[in-house]
Amino acid sequence: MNHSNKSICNYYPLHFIQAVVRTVDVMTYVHESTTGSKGNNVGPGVSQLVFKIVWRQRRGTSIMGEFKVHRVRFFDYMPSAIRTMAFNSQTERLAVARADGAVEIFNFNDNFFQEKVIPGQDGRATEALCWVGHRLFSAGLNGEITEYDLENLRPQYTVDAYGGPIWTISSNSQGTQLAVGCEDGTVKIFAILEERIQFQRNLNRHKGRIISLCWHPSSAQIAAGMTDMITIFDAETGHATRRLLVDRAMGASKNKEVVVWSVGYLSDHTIISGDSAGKVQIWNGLTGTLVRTYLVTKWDVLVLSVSKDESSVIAGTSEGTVIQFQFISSTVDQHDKEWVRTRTFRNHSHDVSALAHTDTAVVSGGMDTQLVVRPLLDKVEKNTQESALRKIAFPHRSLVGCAKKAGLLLFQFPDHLELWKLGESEGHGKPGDRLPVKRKPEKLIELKRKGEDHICCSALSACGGWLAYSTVSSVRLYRIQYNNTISINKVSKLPKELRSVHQLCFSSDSSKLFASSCQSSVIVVAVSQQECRYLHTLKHKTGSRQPVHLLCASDDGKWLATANTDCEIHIYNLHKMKLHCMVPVYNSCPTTIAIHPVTNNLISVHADQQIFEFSLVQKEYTQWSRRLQTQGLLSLWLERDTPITHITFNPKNPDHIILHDTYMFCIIDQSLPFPELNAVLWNQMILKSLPVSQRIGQSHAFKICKSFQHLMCVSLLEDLSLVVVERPLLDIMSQLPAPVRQKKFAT
Amino acid sequence: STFKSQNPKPVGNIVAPTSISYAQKLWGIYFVLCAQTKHSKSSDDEAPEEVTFEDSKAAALRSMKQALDTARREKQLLKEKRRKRQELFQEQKKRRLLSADVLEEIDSASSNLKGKYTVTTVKERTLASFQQQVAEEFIRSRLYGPGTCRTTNNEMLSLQNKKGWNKSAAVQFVKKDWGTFRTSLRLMTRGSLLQLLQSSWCNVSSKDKKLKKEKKKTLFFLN
Repeated sequence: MNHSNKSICNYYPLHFIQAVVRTVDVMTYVHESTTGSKGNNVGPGVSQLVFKIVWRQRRGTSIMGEFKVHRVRFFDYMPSAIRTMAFNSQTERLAVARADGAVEIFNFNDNFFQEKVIPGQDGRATEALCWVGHRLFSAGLNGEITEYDLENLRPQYTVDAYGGPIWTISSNSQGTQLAVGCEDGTVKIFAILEERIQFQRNLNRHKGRIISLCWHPSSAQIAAGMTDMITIFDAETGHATRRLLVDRAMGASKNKEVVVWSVGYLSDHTIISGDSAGKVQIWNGLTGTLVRTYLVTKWDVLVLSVSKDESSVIAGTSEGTVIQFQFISSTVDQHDKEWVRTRTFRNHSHDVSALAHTDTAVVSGGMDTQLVVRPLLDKVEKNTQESALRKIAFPHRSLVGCAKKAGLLLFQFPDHLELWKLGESEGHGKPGDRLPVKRKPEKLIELKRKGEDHICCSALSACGGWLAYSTVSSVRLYRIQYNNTISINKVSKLPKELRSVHQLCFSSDSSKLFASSCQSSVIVVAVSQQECRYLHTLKHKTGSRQPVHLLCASDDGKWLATANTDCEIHIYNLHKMKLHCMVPVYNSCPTTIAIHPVTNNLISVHADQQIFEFSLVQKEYTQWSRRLQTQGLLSLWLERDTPITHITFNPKNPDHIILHDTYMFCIIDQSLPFPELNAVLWNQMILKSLPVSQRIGQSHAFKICKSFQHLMCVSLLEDLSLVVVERPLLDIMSQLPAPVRQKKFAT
Repeated sequence: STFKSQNPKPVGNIVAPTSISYAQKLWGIYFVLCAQTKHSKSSDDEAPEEVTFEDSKAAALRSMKQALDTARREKQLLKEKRRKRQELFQEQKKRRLLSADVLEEIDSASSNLKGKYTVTTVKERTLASFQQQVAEEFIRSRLYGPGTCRTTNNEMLSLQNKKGWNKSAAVQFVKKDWGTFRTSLRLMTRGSLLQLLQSSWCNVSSKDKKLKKEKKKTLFFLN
């Protein structure tokens, strides 16, 4: 367990920051020396170092993998803060809404894989999410309630509540009514109908905005948290039956109004509230009296979440802590149960603004943009994979496109795209050297999107001449020409079939564009100098309506593979333009797929870290894949907590498969034996230290390198140089909003 | 001016101390007082005025009630006055802010236009978006406004370095503004950003020339 990815960041967060800081210091030093008065002007903000890494292998003294590595750190990827989340216990899915309006769905049954991403929109400002059965609703400061179409990854419709900005949304336990708390002080009730929602009525209006609300499990009352008080409404009549007055903070903040950020309503009419004075208060909702007050922080308690069995409540604070309260008795006889503060989790550096309490874990998210899943050790078996802390900091899909022939990189941001040309170096060196940069990398194009919808997906052709991106409302295609200057021209008339596109992919000869659309179908259009012409729509036969999240074409232009979130992988024959076959469904969703350029085998890696190789011609798993399944992957491989997001191949050596996750990249050599179950997985250092003749016994198929972090993309160019796009977590942290100032002893 | 001698001649009738004892003096005072009270009464034989307990109690309660009533009335009047003043100030502030807002936009826009330029209509700021800005400003001021006791990312990470298992130096002690609120400006909405720039926040004073330049730059960028 000590060597796993977790040891770097999850169990010892401070240790992790140490390591990255050293690297950053070095990087800064390099910048300052090259941009300063030293003369060779690399330019500000450019961080491309080129150096070599080498592996040894058993065939004599020949060097197996000697690569020039383009180490790219100019992708300024910045994730958005988590504003709110909602867990659906029926489907085991967690919906997370971010500050830019994007909604992400994580599958808790499948190694917390980020299944779906619905792109955001300018001005949506989502404040609250709510599941009703399989339907997902959100409400935001733009005053609208949105229902999402999870099959087509877009908002299905929006309804204006006409109450000003909406702060909170909650459904009753039967799933028949939706209550929203508005800026104008009203709680509005909407009826949930088959395909839409309809306004029913307002509860009595009160002065002051409704910040939070919660239904009583019987759907008869609603508790609403406002400024300085909590009001209990009768849901039938709309009258306010009780008003619970919340104390303001002591001391200097007596003049500041206290905001009740979150309320919970239990079946026994207990109300739990978290407010801006840092208190968690337990009230008796029937008598309107305060039962207990816990002052848990000097700052705000931003969010509360009650477990399904109502025995545990968690509170998230601005300090970054999550505090658990449990309804337990202090004596053995269990008669006098009361709410007692039990655990404190410190897994965040910034404010925790979203919480979800599942049966076995505490899920938290906030301003530091990371999603943390903390299993509760009294609900899961200790020291197993199940009980490990999980931190999800990077997206589970690739945001970097690479044009291998042209040496170009495409970076996808929510509001624009950047096209960069990689630099060049000269000379050779020994492994670990930094080579001098002869020509620095250059940003060729920055393309801002049109309209309010954020970019969903993008693609760059291998030759670099075509660029395409899509939002929920449109698809845009551009032709790029590289003469003395770069010119970019939009292709104006696109086929009308190109709508609601989730994934884009160019064929290797740049003659066709593949776009996945609704019901896992794929639209094929031909792109040429003159026009963009619709060719065909490829459909599958399983009847699945789930969207396609992976799309890849073979190098020879004959095959196209798609994967959808129902874990189905379909293969299409592009010469005949019809479905070729379907790979046997494995119960874990594929996180990346690729077709080998020489053997035309499909390599797929899944969310549970399993690897399969399927022969497209024979329509069956290959011998290598069956041997791997029989042998089994090492537990250290299977316990990695970030998914493989990209596979690429080595043109010079067809035995190589290069894949990467956030913390490592790995070259799998199909000609080497698999590691034994008691073998060491990360054996590169060991091999290096052994004399050449002894290496044969020790080396195995998995060659892992952990020198570069955090990886956004690893790709191999046509000239056999490796491109490694890194985004250190520290760079992201430096641009987050201000954390609270904690006074620590001796500082 | 004439000087008075150190020991001025006594003036007035100062009786030289006699040999009357202290106790005798006290008895004398007592008798004088008794005589005075006797003289103040109109008739010696009348019984003192009968004041019943109820009457005096009622009188006392009345006076107390009066006092409370006046106090309450005064408080109400004061409250009304304060409320009216507060509303007036808010109205003025809103008016003032809006005009400052417009002036800043015009100022930065015009200073960057040279020669030929076109005038275009900006997207109309509807009531909904204004309300959204107010709501976003509410969150911002509650979480990051004055009195919220915040620090910079640089300081937080440096403290972690200092207190961690492997103690090391501050994260970026050369670049003092690394990881400060300046870099998080892009995360705010336009409305809250304008409000932020107009109010003092954290411990950055607007006297900082660099910050002023950055304010102008950011405003232009937003336009």
